[in-house]
Amino acid sequence: MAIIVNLDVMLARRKMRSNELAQLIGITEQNLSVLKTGKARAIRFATLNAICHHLRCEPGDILEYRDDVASDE
Amino acid sequence: MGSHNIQRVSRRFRYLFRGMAITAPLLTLAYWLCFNQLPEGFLPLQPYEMAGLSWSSAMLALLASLLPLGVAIFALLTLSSLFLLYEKGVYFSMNNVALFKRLGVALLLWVPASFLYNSLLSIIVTIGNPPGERLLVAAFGYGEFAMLLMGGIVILISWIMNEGRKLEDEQAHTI
Repeated sequence: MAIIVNLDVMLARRKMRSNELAQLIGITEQNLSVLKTGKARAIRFATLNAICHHLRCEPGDILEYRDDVASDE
Repeated sequence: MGSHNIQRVSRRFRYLFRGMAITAPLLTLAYWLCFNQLPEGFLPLQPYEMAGLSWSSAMLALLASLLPLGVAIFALLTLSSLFLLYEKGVYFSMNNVALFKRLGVALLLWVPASFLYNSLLSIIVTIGNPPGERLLVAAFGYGEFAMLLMGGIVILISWIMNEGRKLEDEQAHTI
């Protein structure tokens, strides 16, 4: 997919661990891992809102569109 | 109905279908072995005389009955596998879809199996009759029509379940 999830980058910038964020936003570590590895098909606004809130960032810091990445659609 | 109830009832159905799949061949064997000792009401309704079947004819009839019996066991084992998935809480997986499709195919297969069985049975039972009294029965009745209809519906449901599976898959990948 041409949408890149930069969650691990933001986690590193905020020096936060995945399990800590998962706990804060109320999802399982497994689901956060699915999101981090780009295996998710969709993200709920509620999840995105919680991530942005706890990482103090914008949705654009988490999600990036790259035209050069081959889409699986 | 809660997930716990679904699992509890599914377990009972699985035991029932597994039990039926095991007892069906034994009952069929016992039926043809004891055919001449059976009370009047247990004899199949056919347009020819079934009473007083010879030993060899009964064995040939037993062989012929393996056709619908095989299909029935196939359907029962499919149902048993399907309810095992429900018991495990798996409702919309690829396996569920495949098992539903298999069940539909089994119901459709029942029609030619039953048709062939009835024809073979008529030949087996009446082959020893004098010329003019030998019969070849080719019957397609309400039961066969109902099975065709049910098989078609079950296959259609399997397609719908496949759409449900895609939705569940989508849901599982929505974070």
